[in-house]
Amino acid sequence: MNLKFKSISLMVALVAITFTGCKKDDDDDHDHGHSDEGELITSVELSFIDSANISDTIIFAFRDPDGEGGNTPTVFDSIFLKKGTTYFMNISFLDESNPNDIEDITEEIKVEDDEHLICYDLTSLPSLSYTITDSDGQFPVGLESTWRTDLSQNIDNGSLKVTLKHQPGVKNGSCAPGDTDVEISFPTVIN
Amino acid sequence: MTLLVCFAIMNGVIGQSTNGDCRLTLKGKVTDTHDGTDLSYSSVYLVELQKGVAADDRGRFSMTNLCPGEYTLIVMHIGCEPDTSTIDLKESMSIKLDLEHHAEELGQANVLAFKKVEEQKMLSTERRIDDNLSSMTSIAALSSTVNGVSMLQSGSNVAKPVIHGLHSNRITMVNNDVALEGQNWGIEHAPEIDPFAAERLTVVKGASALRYGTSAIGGTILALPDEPGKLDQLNGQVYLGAASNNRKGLAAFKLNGRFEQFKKWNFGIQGSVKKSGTVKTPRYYLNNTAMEEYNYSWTVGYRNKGFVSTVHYSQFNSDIGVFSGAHIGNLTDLETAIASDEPRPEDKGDFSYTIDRPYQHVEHETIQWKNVLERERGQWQLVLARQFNLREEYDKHLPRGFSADESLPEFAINLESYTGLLVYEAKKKGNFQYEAGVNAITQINRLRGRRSFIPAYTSNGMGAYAALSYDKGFWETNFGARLEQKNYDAEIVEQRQVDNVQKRFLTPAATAEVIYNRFKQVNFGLNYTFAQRAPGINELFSDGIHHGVAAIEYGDETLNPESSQKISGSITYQSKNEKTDIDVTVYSNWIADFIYLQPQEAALTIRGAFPVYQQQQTDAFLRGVDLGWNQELSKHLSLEINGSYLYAQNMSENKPLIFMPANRIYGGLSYTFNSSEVFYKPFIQVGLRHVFEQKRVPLDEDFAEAPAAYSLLSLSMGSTLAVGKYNVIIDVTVENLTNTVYRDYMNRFRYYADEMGRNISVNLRVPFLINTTKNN
Repeated sequence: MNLKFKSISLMVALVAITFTGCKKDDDDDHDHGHSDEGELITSVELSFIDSANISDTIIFAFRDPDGEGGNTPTVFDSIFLKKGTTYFMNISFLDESNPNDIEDITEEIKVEDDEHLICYDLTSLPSLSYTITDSDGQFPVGLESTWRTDLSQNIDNGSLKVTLKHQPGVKNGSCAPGDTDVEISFPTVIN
Repeated sequence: MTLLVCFAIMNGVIGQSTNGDCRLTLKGKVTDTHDGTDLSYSSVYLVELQKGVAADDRGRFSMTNLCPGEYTLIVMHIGCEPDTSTIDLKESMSIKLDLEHHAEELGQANVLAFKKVEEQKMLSTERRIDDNLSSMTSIAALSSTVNGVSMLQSGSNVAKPVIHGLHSNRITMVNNDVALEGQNWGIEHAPEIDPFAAERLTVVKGASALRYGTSAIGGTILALPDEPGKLDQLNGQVYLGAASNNRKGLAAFKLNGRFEQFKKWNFGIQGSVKKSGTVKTPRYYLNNTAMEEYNYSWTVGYRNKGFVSTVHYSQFNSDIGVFSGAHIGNLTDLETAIASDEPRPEDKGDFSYTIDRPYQHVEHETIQWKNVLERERGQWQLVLARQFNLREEYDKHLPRGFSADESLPEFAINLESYTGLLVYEAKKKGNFQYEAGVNAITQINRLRGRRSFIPAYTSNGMGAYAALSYDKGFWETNFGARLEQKNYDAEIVEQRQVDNVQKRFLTPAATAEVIYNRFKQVNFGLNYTFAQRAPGINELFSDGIHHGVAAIEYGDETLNPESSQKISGSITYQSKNEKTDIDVTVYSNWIADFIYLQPQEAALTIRGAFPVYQQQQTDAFLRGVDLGWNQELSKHLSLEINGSYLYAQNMSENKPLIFMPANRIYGGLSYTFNSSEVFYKPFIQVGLRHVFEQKRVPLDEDFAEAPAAYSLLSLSMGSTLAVGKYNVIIDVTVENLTNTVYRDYMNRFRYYADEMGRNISVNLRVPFLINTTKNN
């Protein structure tokens, strides 16, 4: 009996040593936390500047501050452009998930412009055309562009799809490689 | 295929010196103590001469040219405790050796409601790990060698078992008497058990393993380690393996035993390492599919009369590269991937051992303390354990923002579990036997990272069960019941607000079984089990994007437990000459309030459209047949056929259940050559596995059609080689011999890429024995 007792104490000691010796106590500072949250893109803004009157700027936006899933977007504009006009367009990407701390992700894309490409797809918009005016040195980036609408009589009613591709190491000027960070199809009317 | 090779030493069968009167012969036969059956291929070892032989298929052995004297004889057989006896050899003699067959002891200890070896065959299936050297890639691959068990895969490196169509939350994995507590709800989360640590694997189909909880309505998989030896020796094994396709290398060892100086103590240590590179399909490489894994465990046991106390520690660690082409942005990307025949060039790449983003990092640590106290009337068992499970997911996208630390995972879950199990097993008295037990669990789930899929929570549970068996004449009956309470306290974060949600579930289970063995060759068994399963944490609270399948999943806090009723019947037949073995299992499983993911309208997000799935309840019905047939055609030739059929229906909506394994059939023919001095039982085996197309799929719920049927040819050959004083068990296996291009319905990566091409693996195992007595 005595011996049995001794062995049990030894076992208890062994268990105790191993229990206390266990790793991973680094979760204390993250106690159930969401503290080291990174950034996500919640908003996209397209600023169209009339080349004939640069004080005339129209902004079309998409905002979904709680990210994917959850609530539906709070802002989802349709794009309206005038006939026979040339626009300078700047696109910006924001993290508005925390209203007290809005982050501009456009800057990051600019710094890493050789890893990013913004693609524009036009559907049923025959009177609209565009040219990307910025470059990473080798390929277009798409943050800055020029857009022209012609003088045809018909009213165009289509869509403009904006896609932000993250293409680290695989950028080749086309939209195919890489991962989709943003994909929004804005309803677009030109009259 | 069963390559029954004994864990033994059988060197020096030939070529011993003969001098003087050393011409005696010792002949004998090894049989099972209980039923007198022959124990084929046992090993008989004479300690003093360090000399051994292997018995033949009838358990007969013979040793010649022995000198007179007193010898210590060790008899070993797979599934048996080695047994020692002494003989005084004066003249040539013939002896009979009885061996306690181990399977029965384990059966009683671990599979409730199935007490005897024969009954174990009825509704649970046991696999010796050593029989399946080439399938030791994962615990899931190993389990799927059991009829009725298939695999659910997320790429080539993550697999989990599916029993009778059910998986994840509906299956309990028990490692060494402790139910594995990981993030087992996730389809891309493989069970954290080292296949090399387990010595045998028992699959209990259905919820009748009441000891481990009511939630296992699909079944329970028990992984059991080596039993500590009762001899003053160290038993060891070394495994080495290599595979051609992903240029995998693995090494593992085991050592356990005891020393003469400390007869009451026994020790065990075990470890394995594995590293593999990019997987190659017949047409291209799958970029970023390398993985590495290392595991180890140790055991210290104390045994004194009727008391056994064991501390067991184990650790599982792996880094698993996730195929880059499967980590996609949105529905458009998914549709593009499905529409194209091959992955994009950037997702094909070349061979590499590097693991890049996206990858999973998994750790699992278990420390357990098990005590067994034998009393006159029964046995007490107390098992206490702490488990720590860490899962980190590193997305393909590096975290955004200049300040973010790129070495951080996007998603990390730490699950810490404390469990206790107390069981009393009464010895059989008259026709009755019973056991009863209580258990408790407390868990803390912590989160880190910028996204989460399940919430942080604490969980407490408690359960009690009792089981009774009664036999009379040809009839044997088993009954059991269990009641379980499970509580969750979850922290739901919504709009940066933390909301505490409490959920409480009380779930009962009951099982009844009748076995009839009127005829020696035929056994009938019928089992009915009712069990309720409380919803899992993901079913209640999941909220977020599953990157692997580009889907948003929502849990439902209001879910009720699901109720399963399963009837399974089984017939086993073994012909008198033991050349024919047939077992058939038929089952019907009604699950009321079956929890599943129902597709919803796609959600509009900044990253495009995402399909949305909502956890919902329906009534489901699953029925199926598992068939196994082994036939010895001649002395050399044997045939194995097995197959599984499953029909699964969503009764409320009157349509098939999604993601259910397709029907399959396997045929194998093996030829065993005569043993020679060097090659013991060399064999060659050809196998053909045909997996039918899953035609029963719900319309318009899946992103892609179910893949076509496929047939895979495999070839394997092996033998036990006598190399010096060692036995080397070697096995060369070619899987997908014809390098067939195929995709499997149960692999979630079938949307993106083909399955692995031809793979040649070489595995070898060397058992060894170190005598620890002083005078050696």
